[in-house]
Amino acid sequence: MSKSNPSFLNGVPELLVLQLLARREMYGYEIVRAIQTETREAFAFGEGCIYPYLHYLEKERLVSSRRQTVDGRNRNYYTLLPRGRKRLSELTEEWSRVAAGIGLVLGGQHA
Amino acid sequence: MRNSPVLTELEGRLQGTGFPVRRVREQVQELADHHEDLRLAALAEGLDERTAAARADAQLGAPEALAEHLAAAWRQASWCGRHPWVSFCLLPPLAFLTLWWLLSAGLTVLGFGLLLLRYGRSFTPADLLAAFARDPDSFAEFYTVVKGLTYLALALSVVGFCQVARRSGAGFRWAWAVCLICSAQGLFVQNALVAHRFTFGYGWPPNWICAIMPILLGCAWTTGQAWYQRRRYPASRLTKTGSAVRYTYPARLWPAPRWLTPTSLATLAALAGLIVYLGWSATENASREVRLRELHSQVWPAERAAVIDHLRAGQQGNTLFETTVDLQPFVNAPLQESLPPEVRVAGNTLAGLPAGRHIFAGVPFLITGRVQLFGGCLADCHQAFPTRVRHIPVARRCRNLHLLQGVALPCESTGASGAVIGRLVVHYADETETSLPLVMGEHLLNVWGPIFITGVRAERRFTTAPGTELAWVGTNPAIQLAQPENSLRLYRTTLNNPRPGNLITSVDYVSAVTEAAPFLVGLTAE
Repeated sequence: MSKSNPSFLNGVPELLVLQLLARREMYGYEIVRAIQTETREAFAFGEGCIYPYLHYLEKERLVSSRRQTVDGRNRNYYTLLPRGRKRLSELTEEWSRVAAGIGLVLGGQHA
Repeated sequence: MRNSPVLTELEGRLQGTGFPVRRVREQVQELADHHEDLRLAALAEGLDERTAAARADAQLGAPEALAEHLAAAWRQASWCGRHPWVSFCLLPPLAFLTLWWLLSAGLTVLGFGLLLLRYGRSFTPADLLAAFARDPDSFAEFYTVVKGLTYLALALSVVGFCQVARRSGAGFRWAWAVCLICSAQGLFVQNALVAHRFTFGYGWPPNWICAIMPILLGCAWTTGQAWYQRRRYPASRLTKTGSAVRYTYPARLWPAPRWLTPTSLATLAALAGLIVYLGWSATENASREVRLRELHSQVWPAERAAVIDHLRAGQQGNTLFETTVDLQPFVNAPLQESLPPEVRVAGNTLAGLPAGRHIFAGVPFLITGRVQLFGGCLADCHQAFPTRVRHIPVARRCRNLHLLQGVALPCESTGASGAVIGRLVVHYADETETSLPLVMGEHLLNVWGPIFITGVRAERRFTTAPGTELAWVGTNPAIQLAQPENSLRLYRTTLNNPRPGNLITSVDYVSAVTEAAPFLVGLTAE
């Protein structure tokens, strides 16, 4: 069964990818697995859709890529750049603000 | 070895949108790696080969969505991809104009450089236009090149922006937008090289060549791209060797090096075409030079001598039945005064025409000066000439009226052949009148022109209709300087009197106020 990338995920993949790459350099499959694992499969999307985001981030010079052969596999590894680190802190701050706001609303409903 | 339907469809979709081939290969290879990881993970979970592959396909995502996301990311990576309306609708017409001016400037600099090398002195654009004005035949190739520049600039704009559309991921749709916009622009493009003026701009009637060319180029470009991708990058497939996986492409159908692309092929073809054209042009110029030398040294002198001999024969004969009319009271320009419209050219006069009573083309004329009429070519001339000279007295019955006349035009112009440029209005004693037309190309030609035939365009040849004959040829310092091979020409025009039994009291010499300015130097009644 095919999966697609819902539009409401716009912006979220960028934050997730940057956060994961802030830890270490990773290739596409690793990033997807990390997202699935760490979010407990909260997001359902076609895994191929990670690559347009990676290419976009690379074009924006937030990440860089390099080819490396590992166990006979020629993989594309992505690394966070200083601009990406700065962008990550901006996105994190923004996300925290939004999440806090949503939390207040949800908390108010439950009160 | 197996095929992944997701990757195969993804590859087809990306290529179908006009995505750059190399980029397609990189994207598909990366996704093929991911697909293989998914498949291996599924196998590790204990799934069989077929199920594992199917699950990997599903996890990778729908190919149409993947293709759209990849294309969108690629478009976002370039300014043209982000702003397609500006890039492919607004910029191509501007690029065409800019390219045209750049190419023209380049050609101008090159041309003047070559002239400097050949003649050892610098020329100006005004010199070139003046030279064109004197001898347009010699500029046929130049005009072809000027027109070719328009086509070249348009073709470069179309192909260039189609390539940009492909490389930016905008796709074939925007490439066709470029073709249609350029076609609409080309429909109105006009350029012309006329005496003393070169024009380039928009106008009417439609320029169908420039309108159709972008469409044909678009068809050729689209077909060429599809053919190139199909032939050079046939359907790819996933292959596995040991632990390595690659999305490989079969061997190319021909061993083309990496530099052999449609762009490089088009460039090579253009260069080859240019070289062939330059070679052909050099050969043509050499053979024309040889022919011109032969014309100058042998053919034209012989033809000129034959004409002069014929004219001398016409200056003899029995002239008992003709009565010359004294035009002295109507002369408004002496023979020593410069001929229009080149009045500023020193020595452009009829001073060589002998004054007094002389026979020309078998008819006697009394020469006293020039009765000059107004014409459009005199608009810039400070001297005012009449459009009608009235009541030139004849006072006799006659069968024919003989006019010794010429017509002033810009020196390169032949005038519109068949156009009525003036009239001779005959007044009879019974107070009736009749109008006899003077027709360009039948009764007279430009006073400046050749008196030889070989190598001369039909409309510039000095031969005219029956009843009109070349009567006198001469020269002056101006024509010797500007067109040494040409001569001053006056014609004897014989007009039949439709009512020979009626007494003619007078005639009016009338201009039709066209570009041509006719003048009369002799009038005789027979």
